[in-house]
Order: sequence, then structure tokens, then C-alpha cells
Amino acid sequence: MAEKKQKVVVYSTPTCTYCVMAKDFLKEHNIKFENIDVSENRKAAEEMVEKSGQMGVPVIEIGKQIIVGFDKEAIKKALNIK
Amino acid sequence: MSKEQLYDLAIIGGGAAGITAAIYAARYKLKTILITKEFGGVAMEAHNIENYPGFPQIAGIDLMKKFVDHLKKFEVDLVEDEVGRAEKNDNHFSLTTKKGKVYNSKTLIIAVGTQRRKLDLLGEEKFVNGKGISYCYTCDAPLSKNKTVAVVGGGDSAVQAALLLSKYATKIYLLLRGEKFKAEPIAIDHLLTKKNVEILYKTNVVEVSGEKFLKKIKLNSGKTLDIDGLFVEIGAVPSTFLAKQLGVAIDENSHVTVTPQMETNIPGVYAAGDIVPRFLKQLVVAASDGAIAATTAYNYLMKQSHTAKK
Repeated sequence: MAEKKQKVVVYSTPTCTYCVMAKDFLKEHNIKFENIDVSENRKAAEEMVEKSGQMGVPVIEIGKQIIVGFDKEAIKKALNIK
Repeated sequence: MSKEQLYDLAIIGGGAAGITAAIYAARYKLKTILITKEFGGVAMEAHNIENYPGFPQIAGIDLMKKFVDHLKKFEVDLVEDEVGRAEKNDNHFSLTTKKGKVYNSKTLIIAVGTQRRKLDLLGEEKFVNGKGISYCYTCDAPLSKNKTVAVVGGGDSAVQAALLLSKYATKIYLLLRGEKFKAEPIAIDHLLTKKNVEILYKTNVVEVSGEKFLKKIKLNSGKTLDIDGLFVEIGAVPSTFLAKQLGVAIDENSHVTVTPQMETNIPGVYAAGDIVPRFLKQLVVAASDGAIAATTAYNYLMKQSHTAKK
């Protein structure tokens, strides 16, 4: 199950609804993730823009894959969630 | 089609109107299905709600989670999918979803709400999806720390956006098309205390520009503002494509025409929430619409079954 060991990072802001939905979704599926509040962490915000080519949140990094927005189907696919 | 696949009521939309309709329908013991792309509706994006009775102050997402928790106490089939096609057959309606499922029901409540109105400017599309123009202030406002931003609009959402932005951005221009706000006076009073908010009246954005990200906006006054983000809060337009497929009457403002009982011109089809014409588009109104629509659907079904038994 190599997919399950991929590092998962959620770039988010505290007020963003879709960030909360994305994090709730990961929690529901027992996926461990690192949450980075890009409103507080300037460097991480720049990193997020560089990686995703845009500045909207959430950005979900799964291994080397970048998913912009709470795209449930893309997250499921990347993490092999049925 | 087997009989058990036929629902009494199918509700399309999972916002305040749809959820309330489903709660009422379940209590009327109607065999009910609710199909929605996502639960919570537009209220999910409100960062702060202070006018829903029983909740002096609550974030939109937290309140809508309570709506969903409440709904889950009842026997209603909940489906997260998008209805792409709605049609009337002999004695029922058929809904086909984007995932290819078909659901049949004797009655329908259309509560799909609205889509955000865009500025409709040349080049606007280039800067959406995280390139500087945002239609979701709760998502993107906290990213505006030490930045200069502008908000377009003069209603409740625009004022709430400016208020949230005032915590983060160095400077906020609030651009009102007219001479007056359409927001709640209590929120306007609060906004006027914010030193980093500058209000420009009778102002329209006429041009947006920048390379990769939005950098400048040109106003109708000829003035150019250097900004890092533009928040568009100019209302929404009803999503009427399903209603149109069913032949439901739409008014000149693109709302679904309904009676005070939420009936459309098609027997057995009801509409509720932001899709119907309302003097006040608020959570409390949408919830009320949903309750009425479910009750009318129930009365209609009772009458049908009574007639059938005769």
C-alpha cells in the first residue's frame, strides 16, 4: 500500500470552507496530513504559489501531486480511496 | 421500474432550503431523496452569521454542519451527486445525475440556488482560479496579509468581505456601483470604523490587467489602482437549467415563478430558496421556503392518493 504512505500536506486558511471540508474528508478516511496555515506562514504561502501556480486555497499536496481546491475525486484517486 | 425505486419526493439542492424541506418531508413520512453536489449551500461561505435565531454568532460552515447533522437524524436518502437532467414521464419525474444514476420521484423540489455573478469583463477569466480575482472571500481573504486589495459590491457579502479583509490587508478599496450600501446598517457601522477601508462610490471596474497574476484595475473614473487581489461580491444568478428542462416558468429576472405555496406552473414541481424571487435572500427565508415547499408537496401527494383510492 505505497499510496497510503505518501506525505499529505494541506495548505489552508482558517476561514476557508473548502479547506475545512478537505481536512474533514482526510480525517474521515484516517489520512494523516500536515496542515499549513498560509495566512500565518508567508514562506509556505510562497511555496504554495510556486508549486500550484496560483494563490487560492486549499491546495492539497499528495506525494508529488498537487491538487488545487477540494477536488474529492482527485484526492480519492491520489490516495487510492475507494 | 420497480415500485420501491419510486420516491414520493426528490429534493435537488442541499442548502438551507433543500435541507429544511427534507427534514419536513421526513416528518411527513414521505419517501424522500435529497441529491446535492455538496451539502450546505451558499451559506457555507459566510464567515460570520449573526442573524439566524438561536445562534447569536456562528460561522456559516458550522451552522450548515448543524443543519446536516439535524437532517441525518431522519430517514432521507442522501446522495452527493449533481443532477444533469430532469424530465417528466407519465406519472413521475426522472432525474439523471452526472455519475449516471437515475432517480424517480412523484414530486420534486428544486432548491439548487444560484451561481455567483461575475464582472463580465474582458480578461476576467485569466485571473480567476487563484490568479487574483476571488469569488470566495472566506477562502482567500486571509491570504491578503500586508496586501492591497479591492472588493466590488455594496451588499451584505461585500461588507462582510471588507470586514474580514480589514483584519489582514493593509488597504482595502470597497467599490460600490451606486451611491448607497444595500447591506445591514449594523455591519456598515462596523465597517466605517475600519481605518484601512476606503469606500469609493459610483465606481465600476472597467479593466483588469497583470501578467500571471492580477496587478491593476482600471475604474470608470479613469483612475488605476495597483492591487494584489480583487474580491467580487455582486450577487448571484439563479441556476435555472433544470427548471427549464421541465418547462417550469421563469420570470424576467431569471427566477422560478412560484405561488405563495412554492408551487411552480408544473403540478408536482416546487421550488424553494434563492432560486425563487425574494425581497430578502437570507438563510432564514430559504429555510422557510423549504418548509412550505415540503408541506405543499405532502398535501399534493395526500390528495393524489385520496383521489386514487376513490
